[in-house]
Amino acid sequence: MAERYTRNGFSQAEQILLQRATIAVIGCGGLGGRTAELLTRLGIGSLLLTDPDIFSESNLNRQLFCNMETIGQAKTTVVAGELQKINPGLQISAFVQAFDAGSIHGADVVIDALDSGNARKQLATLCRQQNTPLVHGAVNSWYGQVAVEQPAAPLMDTLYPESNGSTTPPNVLPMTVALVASMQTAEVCKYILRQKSPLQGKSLLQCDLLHCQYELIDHTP
Amino acid sequence: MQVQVKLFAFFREGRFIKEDRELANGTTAGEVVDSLDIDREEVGVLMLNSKHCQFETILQDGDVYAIFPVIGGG
Repeated sequence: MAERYTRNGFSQAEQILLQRATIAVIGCGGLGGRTAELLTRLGIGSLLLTDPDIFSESNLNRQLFCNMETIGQAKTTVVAGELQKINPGLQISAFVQAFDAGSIHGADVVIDALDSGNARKQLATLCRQQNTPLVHGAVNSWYGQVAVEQPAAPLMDTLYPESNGSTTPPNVLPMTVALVASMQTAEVCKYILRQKSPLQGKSLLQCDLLHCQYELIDHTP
Repeated sequence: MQVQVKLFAFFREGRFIKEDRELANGTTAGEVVDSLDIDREEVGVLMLNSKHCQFETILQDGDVYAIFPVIGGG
């Protein structure tokens, strides 16, 4: 086993499963940048990164790869470059565009790192069409949520009702982003290593960092 | 009748996390949302006794009613 992975504590067979996995990260801002970094350090072999945006000053509070030098640059291009510094052997496809079916083609798991309800529902539809699990994460201020949507158990339409048309960007704290991104990465890891998780299509995890409360909510209709 | 109301995420701020509330018979889930000065547009999920419900659902004595906001940032 490569020395870089010895402290993961996984078996050779488990590390090979991670190496052979392809993960699509949709959105490369707060959640996406952090999950991409964690997946790289974990030993995932291939990443598909998609985001149409460039880094801006308001991203500095929470987006791992946003700094004074990268403001104005395409997020996926910057993230891909930084991940290659961590692991030159990592296979990366970086798309500076809005996501479409091609963004998740061939992925074993898709990470939802978007920032709008409508986009999340569109991504969930694509995942169901391609029979690919979707690891959802979302943040508002001190609060976050994580879920794993299996193709047979839709969840996004429930979490994001049609009536919600708010266009005001929510407050997003960096520690909440880091927590939710870590939990999303853990769910990807367990899925690839074929370990069961309460979040695999059965429960929604609600995180409240302000009151230190973390609750699994059964979302079976 | 008495109903336990549970709020999640930012709906807790300035309100409560969990509270037993005395409600008139026939009170709907939506009327509780309105009484808490929560904008219905901000509501993501309503759950009654761990099952999804609607604004129109009529609450019953002893129910546990949970209100979740839409959380969309990333």
